[in-house]
Amino acid sequence: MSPLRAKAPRIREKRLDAIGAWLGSTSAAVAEFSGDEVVQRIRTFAQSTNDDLIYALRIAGTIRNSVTVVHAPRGCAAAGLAHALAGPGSVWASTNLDERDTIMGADGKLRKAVTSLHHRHRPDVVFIVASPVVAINNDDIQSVVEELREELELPIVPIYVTGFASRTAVTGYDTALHALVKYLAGSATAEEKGELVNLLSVAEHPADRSEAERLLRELGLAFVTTPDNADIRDFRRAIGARASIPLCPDAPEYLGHVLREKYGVPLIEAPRPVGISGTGAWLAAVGSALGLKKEAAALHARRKAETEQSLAGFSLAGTAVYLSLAAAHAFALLELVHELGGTVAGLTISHLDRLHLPHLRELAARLPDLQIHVANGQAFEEASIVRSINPGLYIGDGLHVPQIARLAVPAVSLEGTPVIGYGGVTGLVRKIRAALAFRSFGELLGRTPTPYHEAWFRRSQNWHIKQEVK
Amino acid sequence: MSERTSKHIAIYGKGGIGKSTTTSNISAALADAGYRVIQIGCDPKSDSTTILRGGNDLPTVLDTLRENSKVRIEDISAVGFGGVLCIEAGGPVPGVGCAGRGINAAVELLQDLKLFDEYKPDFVLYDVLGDVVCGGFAVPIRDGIADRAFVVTSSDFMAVFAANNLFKAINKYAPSGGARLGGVIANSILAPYATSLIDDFSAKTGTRVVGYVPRSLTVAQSELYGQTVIEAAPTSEQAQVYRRLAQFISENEDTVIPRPLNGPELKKWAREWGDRIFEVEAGVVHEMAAI
Repeated sequence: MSPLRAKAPRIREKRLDAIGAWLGSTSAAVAEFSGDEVVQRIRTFAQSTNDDLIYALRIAGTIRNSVTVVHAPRGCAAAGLAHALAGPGSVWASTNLDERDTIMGADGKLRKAVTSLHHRHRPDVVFIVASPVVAINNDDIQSVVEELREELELPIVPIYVTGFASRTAVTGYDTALHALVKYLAGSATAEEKGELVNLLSVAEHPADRSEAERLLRELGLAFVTTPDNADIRDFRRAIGARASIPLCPDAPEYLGHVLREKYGVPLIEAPRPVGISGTGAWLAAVGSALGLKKEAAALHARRKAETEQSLAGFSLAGTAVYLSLAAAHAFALLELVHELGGTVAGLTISHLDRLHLPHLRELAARLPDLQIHVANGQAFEEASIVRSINPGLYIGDGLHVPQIARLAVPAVSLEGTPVIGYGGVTGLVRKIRAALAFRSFGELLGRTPTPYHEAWFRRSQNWHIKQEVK
Repeated sequence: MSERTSKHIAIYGKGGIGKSTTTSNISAALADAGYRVIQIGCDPKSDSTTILRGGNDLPTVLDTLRENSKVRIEDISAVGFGGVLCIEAGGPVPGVGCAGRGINAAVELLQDLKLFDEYKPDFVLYDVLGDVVCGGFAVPIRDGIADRAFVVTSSDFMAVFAANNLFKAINKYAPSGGARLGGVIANSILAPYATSLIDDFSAKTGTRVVGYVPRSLTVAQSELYGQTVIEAAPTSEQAQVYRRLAQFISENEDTVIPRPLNGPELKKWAREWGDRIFEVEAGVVHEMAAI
């Protein structure tokens, strides 16, 4: 059965045994995933977290000349504001479902929204993002898609997120990518492969994307980048590419997977190009798959020398670092910390699934006792962990940095910070230097009361993480 | 569009009209004729396949609803009479939750299990509860799940009214890939005017009756024994009725998009039939009266 036949892909829990709550060592994590079935965990208490709708909006908003309609009560589209602030997103609107709409059905409202936005903005594509309300009342989106597609003569792409079927928000990426390929890629079968390669980039900083694109250009490769900042025509080009190169082994994986399964485009296995050796490994994987081994090695040697020189002997020796990022990002940054001479005291990653297993195994062999905390948005657990570990430095994705800073731990936020490639290394080191040098604000924060009771800090950090009992 | 060779058929009709009985007997008849059949009960009461399984317990699909449990087909199905694979979608207990959402989730779960790829049925019958009161209960006729739908009705006005409503739902979804109408199954035929009434309603709405199932003690008795008529009384006339109906469904793939009557039309139609029945009672005979 074609992988694109269904409205949406399988949720990450089913597709890749993803778990969203866990605390243990790398070796225990490997053991957990070594059986056939991974026992799902739940939190008996959890702070607010992201859902798949929010993650899907992130992808819809990155497509150029697009309009996104969130078919939901007005609150569900609030996440759009955050994405709009993060960069030039698309136009978005909410159908603002009210009580009557949820009872009587709102396909009329949806039709009106799509039509008027089309006339106002003349986009290349309109996205319709579902929401928990329409998932429950089964409001009819598909007939609006079919009718208006013909009537307005433009692609209308429904993204069937539910907001509750999956507990791991990254399912939202998969669902959006599924819809993009299903509706925009066209039906070409795998013909003769062209010269282009696909650069698969999901929710990356524009500077990160440019850095990766620069590296590919230096290797003499012509490429098309999807979905970040893509044009709808780029998806049709992507299905005829020679190969897909992911900028991350996790977030865009579903896109690479479908391109391979349905269109025969090989997916190159490569680590995230973060750090000097990390970027070198990425280049090596690309070079080896595309017959550019020598060029890749030469490029790496040159940039490595330049970067090391610019680092001017900076070292994290003696510093234990705590990392809090998406899994693939965290694993990549771990290597960078080691490269800079530091040690990693522990990781918080947003979810863990089978995609991470090869890297996890390798990590468990080197560092079997390294602690891994799986959590998306659980600042209370992270604060307790970091407080007990008391690292010399914390590097996170911005969400919890304020809480951690109040523990008087020097903290670096990667939000809005390019980290990819050789340029990313020098940029990050600059930030780390500053965090370690200018401590007085952090120390001042450390003297303010934390929002958590001592009683919570005395509890075991996985107090609220339990195995799900059937 | 469909890469499947199996035929997916949804059976709808007013609650209590004999849908599950009819569907189970059709499944049994198809199985008896040598086909591989799956019957999926889409009713939170979970009683669609009871008479195929001799009343034994069957865990419902939604009982197993978890993100990551490795559910196997054997966990949520039972082999009934004639080899019919019986599945119940299940749902919340009365008065709570959302059964419509449950039907959606159950159907998705079955697809997720690759039930149809693995079992390779010739026929899949979805027995869907009576009053399609929300979007969830229309799921079997949406999104390319069922190819055809049949509507069961008796000559009682309430059943016809429900059938007309079901035609509205089919009418809505058929143009965007939903199931089309295979026809009407006339059930519980007893009074002399019943077949004419149902024929007339079908003609007025652009469809036709594909089978007439008389009201019969055999059905009632078989059901009390927890069996289909095909099992309990295989050589009876009633069994033959179901076999003919099953044969028609298996051999005939014509479908239409029905034209439901609007409020005033339905009211007028009902009044006219009320008058005709009165005349039957009063012994009035019209020339050319086909009653």
